[in-house]
Amino acid sequence: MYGHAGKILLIDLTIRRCTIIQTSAYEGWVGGHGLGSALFWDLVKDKTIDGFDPTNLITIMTSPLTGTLATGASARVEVQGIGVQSSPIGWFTRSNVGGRFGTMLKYAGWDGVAVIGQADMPIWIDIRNDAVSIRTATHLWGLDTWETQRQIWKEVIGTSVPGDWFDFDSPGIGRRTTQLPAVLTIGPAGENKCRVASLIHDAGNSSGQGGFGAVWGAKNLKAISVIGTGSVTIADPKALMEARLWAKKNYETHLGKLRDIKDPTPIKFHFGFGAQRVPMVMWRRPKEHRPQACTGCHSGCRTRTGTGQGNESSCIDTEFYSHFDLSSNSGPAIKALIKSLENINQKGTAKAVGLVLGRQTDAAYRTADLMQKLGINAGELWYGLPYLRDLYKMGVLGPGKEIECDLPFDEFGQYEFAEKLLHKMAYREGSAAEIADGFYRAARDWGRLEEDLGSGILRFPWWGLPDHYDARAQIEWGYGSIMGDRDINEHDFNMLFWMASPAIWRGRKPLVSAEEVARIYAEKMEPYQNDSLLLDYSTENIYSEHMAKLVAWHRHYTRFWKQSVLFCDIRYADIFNPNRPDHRGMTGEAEPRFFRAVTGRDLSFADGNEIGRRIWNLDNAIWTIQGRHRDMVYFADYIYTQPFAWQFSGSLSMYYLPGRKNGRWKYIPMEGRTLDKVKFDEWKTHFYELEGWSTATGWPMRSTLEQLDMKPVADALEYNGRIGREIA
Amino acid sequence: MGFRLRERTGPTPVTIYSFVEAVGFLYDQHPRIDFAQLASWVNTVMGDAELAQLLHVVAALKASHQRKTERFRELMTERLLQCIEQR
Repeated sequence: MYGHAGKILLIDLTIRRCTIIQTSAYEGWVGGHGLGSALFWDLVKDKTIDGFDPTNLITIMTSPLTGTLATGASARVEVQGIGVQSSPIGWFTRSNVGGRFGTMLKYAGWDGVAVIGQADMPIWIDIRNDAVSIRTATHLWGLDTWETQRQIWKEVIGTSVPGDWFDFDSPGIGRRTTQLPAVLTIGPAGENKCRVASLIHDAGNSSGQGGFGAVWGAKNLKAISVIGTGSVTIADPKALMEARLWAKKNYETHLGKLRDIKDPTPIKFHFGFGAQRVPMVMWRRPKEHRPQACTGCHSGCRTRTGTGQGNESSCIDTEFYSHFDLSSNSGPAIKALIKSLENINQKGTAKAVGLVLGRQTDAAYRTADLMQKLGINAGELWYGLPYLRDLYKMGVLGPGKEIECDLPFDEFGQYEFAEKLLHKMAYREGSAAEIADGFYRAARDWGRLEEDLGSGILRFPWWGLPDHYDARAQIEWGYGSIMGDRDINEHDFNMLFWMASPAIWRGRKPLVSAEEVARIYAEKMEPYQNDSLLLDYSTENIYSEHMAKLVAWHRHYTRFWKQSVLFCDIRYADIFNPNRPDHRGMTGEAEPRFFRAVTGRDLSFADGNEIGRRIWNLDNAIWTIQGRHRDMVYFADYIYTQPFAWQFSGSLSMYYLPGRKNGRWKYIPMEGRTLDKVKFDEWKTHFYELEGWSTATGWPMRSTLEQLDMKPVADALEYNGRIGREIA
Repeated sequence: MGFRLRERTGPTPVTIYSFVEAVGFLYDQHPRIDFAQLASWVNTVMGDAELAQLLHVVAALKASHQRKTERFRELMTERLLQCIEQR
């Protein structure tokens, strides 16, 4: 298939042997996640192993679109393997990272790298086009992720000046480049096998979920470096450029036209292809900064800053400490200001103080940088840090308390606190070092798990992993996460909330009605298209077959288009697009158009979703062998007992989603809702039936797998005594 | 407790432990909080019955969430300034 480099690199670290796998042998799985799951299935004989077991396979797979100008789909790689972060079982799981690594891999002639085994000493993998070397990394062990990359760059480019042409010894096509190698590496957290350790590339591209940094640490794998001078062969370059220009012209936000958009909501909330809000950082941006994009992307959702602090961090990286930085540095600033504002009227004073209250220091930037350097997952800190602070405020945690902890909480919000916290995690230093393996495990070690999951102060609702969009409101997010292996982190339906709610907060009418937005979404949802009830978030509907279809569609769509073809979550799906007069986004048309131009393969949107279903089934087969059973598929207690945003009950609402009330479509407030445990269990039956999985166990049934051309998978499940069966 | 809202991260709960934190929270980009509960907290925890009474009046107004946030922010900021000046 066009777009593929044609070969996958398999490295066995135990015996230090490199093997080439022809990509064509796995062409039906297309790329990314599909390739990774299929390789894992074939190469890992015992799938019940722990993530730290040497026979665990870690795959890093590109897509046919990687390294091309398919915008928003040119740079991500999918990382998979058995993770060490989730509980009670370390599921076969996934993560994803952007930057330059995937494109460089393709330019070096590889569709992916798969690593198995365990080296007997620290090593790094050096890929220069076709040449692959396993090199000693004893001198790199102990370095942080930035130091490691700098050292590897130095070793690869020799005495050349970065940015100048240099030669490297390779038998491949072309041996000269101006580019630095793309390096994916672990930091001290990974070396110390912290279960929340991530893989880092460049300054702030991170593969966080799953704890793959710790898995690399166990394998003694410090880094993979790749530099390539080839290119990607495209079926129809003209069609690809036309597709890119078509997308940009018709669906992107054009700054000059912003005033024409009669949108009463702040459109910076927009998700999808035309999302205006870049860079995607949530702290106060430094004065001097510019957007920075992954290779080939039209968008720049990261930043490069004048100070060099906070480079490339985005999203949660920029969120988890900036709020505490803001609040902890406000008080002293107010006092200083008061003295100089005596002659200003009250209104002016209030306004000025308001600005000062928002004062942010460089603590947030420096904290994010340190987190990237040590190689720690920001998602874990996002909900773990408030939990730690709550325990301190409750008098449970601290010096001489029930949970001995030497962190300086009087410096909370300052860089000094963050530095000690992150070092405690990465190096397992001092008291309360249990948090190195995540806050869920720490709570268990402290004997607080049941109580804190019950009250909801420990917001880890699924598989021992931190919350994100709340399962009691954003149903497809919660259900998708618990039916899978991790926080899905897929924002395809969040526009339903963001398009309407800000308008309602301001006492205005949303851009389109609840009924219309449901219709727009439903149009795209092949093979369940035009059934608006899939988008009915009312309590009466969330346990229905319609909601099962919504979750199934989402799982299939993302498994293929976003995780295998690797369209980026920042720009896809583009379902509702306020830049368009009809508000219809380009999803459904854009994905197959780009795919066809690159690969030459005429695959429809529905065909892609069906391949996604196949991949999703293979994943469930793996989870089934690992020990998954429907009886263990449930949320943490607080999801069933503590109403969502209960503080808002009986007051103005915060979170609106479309739904029907007395037969009429409305934006319905989600506050006060808990999930009903019994009804959710009944909903699982709808979902299993829809997927062709046993309603008794949740295991795939032979008929389903054979219909998907996966008879060997059915045979393996049968052999393991875990094939799904109909209830007699 | 309030909620900080961001596109990518959704509604993040924020536990508020002091008056300064409460005022600071109201200056967030999208602070969402139950006004009646906040007014009651000012009364019972902060012991400021006068301010709480005013806040309850605002909480009961027929106004948008945004407008109420702005009014709460103004009143609580003013009180914070008075507190600091009194020291």
